[in-house]
Amino acid sequence: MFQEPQKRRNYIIYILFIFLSGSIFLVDLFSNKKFSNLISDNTDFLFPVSQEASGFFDSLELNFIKNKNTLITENIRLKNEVIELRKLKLINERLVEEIRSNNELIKNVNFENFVYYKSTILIKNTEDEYLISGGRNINLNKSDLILNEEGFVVGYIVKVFDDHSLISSIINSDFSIPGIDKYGNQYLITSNREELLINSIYIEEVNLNIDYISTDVVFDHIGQFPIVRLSNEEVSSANNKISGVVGIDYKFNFNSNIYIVKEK
Amino acid sequence: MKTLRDSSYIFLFITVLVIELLIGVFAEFSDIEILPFLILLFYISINKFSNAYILAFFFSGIYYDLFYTSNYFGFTSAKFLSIGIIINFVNSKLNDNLFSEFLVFVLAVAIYKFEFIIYAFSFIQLTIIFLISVINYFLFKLINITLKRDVFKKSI
Repeated sequence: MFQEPQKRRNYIIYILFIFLSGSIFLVDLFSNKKFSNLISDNTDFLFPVSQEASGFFDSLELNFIKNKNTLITENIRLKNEVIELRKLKLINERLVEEIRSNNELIKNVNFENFVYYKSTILIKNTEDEYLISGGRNINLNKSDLILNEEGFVVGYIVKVFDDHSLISSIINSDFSIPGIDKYGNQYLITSNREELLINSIYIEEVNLNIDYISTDVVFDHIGQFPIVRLSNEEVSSANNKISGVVGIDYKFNFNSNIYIVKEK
Repeated sequence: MKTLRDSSYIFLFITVLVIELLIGVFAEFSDIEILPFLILLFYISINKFSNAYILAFFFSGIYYDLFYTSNYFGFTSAKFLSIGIIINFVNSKLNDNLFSEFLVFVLAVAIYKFEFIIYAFSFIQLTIIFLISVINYFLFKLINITLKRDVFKKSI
């Protein structure tokens, strides 16, 4: 009997909090994210375990081993050595892989005016956006380009934190980047998560023999980096418009070799 | 005491949210995701719906918007609160059986993942959302059965 009015009261309070969230949303929207940036710029928290804490636990473990008798200590030392050797083997394999990907990148990109920061993927949020390592500590900014090891643009930075950044990648439905071809035609490249959709926004010369669409300084990018290769793809032209669809083959994972490109 | 209780709920919600993100890391970005935070939201919404959890819903959303997304502030809070209220309302209007409960869970997943439905609507996306619902509903039932077991009634 008393449950219904109580439930209604609960609903009303929940709705009031939804309105409160909506009000905060509107304040942030009309202040052009100044409100949320003010808080996220002054606080930084990704994982609950800090480096200092893990160092503290390591030293505790060492003290504990010291109190054991010699034989057990020796046994543990040998075990640790084996573990260390295994770790070194893994590091070595990772470095070989890194050298291979760096060599791959060197073949494809220009090193004269740019510096490339190697980054790794930390987390994927529920909207399929990736958090990558590197943030204000290496002077990253919003809209900095993210390249894969072949030098293709696979995303750009949308939010910068102290030591990590949030990116919009080619598998996000809100991914949108302008590009240019060798004839000077300009395109807008968007994504539906499975394919990249290419639509011309300015036509200089109608020619379907397009090899690559790249970023360019005309769009405030720092240079020319390929976004899509169209040499083997079907491109159509109608009413002075060029359009095409390219499947997304690139898969992000923890071993993805991604690079953040900055001007020197 | 009330402040301590509210703070502990906020801490619980944020911890489960971080666990959900970490599970995504271990699952190597598979499309079929395990969503412990959604299971928690669903459990609270249909079994423990009250004002006691409102700050937990609100601040876990704020925390998520601040550190893990490019959303406008308050967006995720509104989403979590809406899930709570909609799921509780729909569940109270439907019959108490397994199929209805599963349908409500599918609705919760659809709201939780509504960006995918709106921005990238396709048969594949709907299939993925259905599969996510099946797996997470199974986990929800498993947790629900475990939590409902009354240990004091068991004979020693």
